[in-house]
Amino acid sequence: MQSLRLGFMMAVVIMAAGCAHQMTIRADIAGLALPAGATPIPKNVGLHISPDNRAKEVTTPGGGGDKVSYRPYADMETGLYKVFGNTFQNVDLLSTLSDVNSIAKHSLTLIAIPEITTTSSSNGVFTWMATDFTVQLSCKFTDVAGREVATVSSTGTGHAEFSDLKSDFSVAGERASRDALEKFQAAVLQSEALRK
Amino acid sequence: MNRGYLLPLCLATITLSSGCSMMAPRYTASIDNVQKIKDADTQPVKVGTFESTPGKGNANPISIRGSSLASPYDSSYAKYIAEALRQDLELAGRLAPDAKIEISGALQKNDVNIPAVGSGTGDLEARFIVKRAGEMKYDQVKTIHDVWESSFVGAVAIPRAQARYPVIVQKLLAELYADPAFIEALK
Repeated sequence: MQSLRLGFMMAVVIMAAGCAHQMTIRADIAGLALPAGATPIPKNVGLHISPDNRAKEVTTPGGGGDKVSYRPYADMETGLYKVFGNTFQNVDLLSTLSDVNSIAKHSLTLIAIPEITTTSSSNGVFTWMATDFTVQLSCKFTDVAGREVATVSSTGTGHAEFSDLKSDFSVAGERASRDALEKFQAAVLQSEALRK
Repeated sequence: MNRGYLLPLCLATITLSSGCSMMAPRYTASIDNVQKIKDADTQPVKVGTFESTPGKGNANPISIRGSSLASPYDSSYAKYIAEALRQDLELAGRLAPDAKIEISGALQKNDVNIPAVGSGTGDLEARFIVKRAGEMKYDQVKTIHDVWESSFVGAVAIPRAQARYPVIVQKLLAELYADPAFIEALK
């Protein structure tokens, strides 16, 4: 009986080990506002994330030999929209780069095309959650003809202790994306090329 | 490996993957929903109170495989719906605390299930009321039944269900925003 019980528990552990555990890197955007005294860029920007990037799921290391998987573009889309809403006169979603009707309807003069890369790691041996995260955000801005105007980048980091991860498995990733968005917002506001 | 180490290791893994008190992720707006409100050219709106109607299927906290999933908004899933609406409207530039149009309502069903075998499911039902200067303009119930791939392994199925909750709310609100009568009530 004891061998049977042990065998069952081992089977559960084996099935769980090496799995990719679902998490998110959605930043909490509450309080992500235009800093006092900052002036928005007087232009309308279209945020474009391709359907492939939106659906893209990446898998990076978690703890205890396990992995974590998430959708960086889908998770950060709202935060990016919020940042562009803060830093520009107006932001609209641009589903395709050739959507001339939307470009004209919303009087867009800039198009933002983000690129996101992430890394993760964990100091946990017995738990799968990632305790450390890095989110690198790079955004190419073009005019409506596709000519590059500027590229703005930021890197966010997030760390979480086991006590935080117990109730929110994703907290390290959420902190990293929030950090990346705050730094990205500051960099956009400082970009002279975007104000020209 | 020595059997003496293996048993506690197995037990630790099983314990860590079940029986926890967890928090649902904070709501994150769907930009498609936000853009829909923005394109509809509606009037400024404020979000009033959302109640929770007691009843079977309106769980709080939600129980998933022995773990409990609480709302991050004062442990109230009705407030979760209100916060979701507020965030969508704010991102669309339509939220105004002094607006004449107010959206309120009640959460009537709220549950997530991840059986050991089969898909995960989420069910939400909410009543949405729109009043303009106190006059009723819209009163309808919206429902969503969401299905996703789950797993026998709790350490895979539970985080997947936890991460899914905001997506189920986004889908419920997508139903609301797709209703021409609702959009008309906001104009």
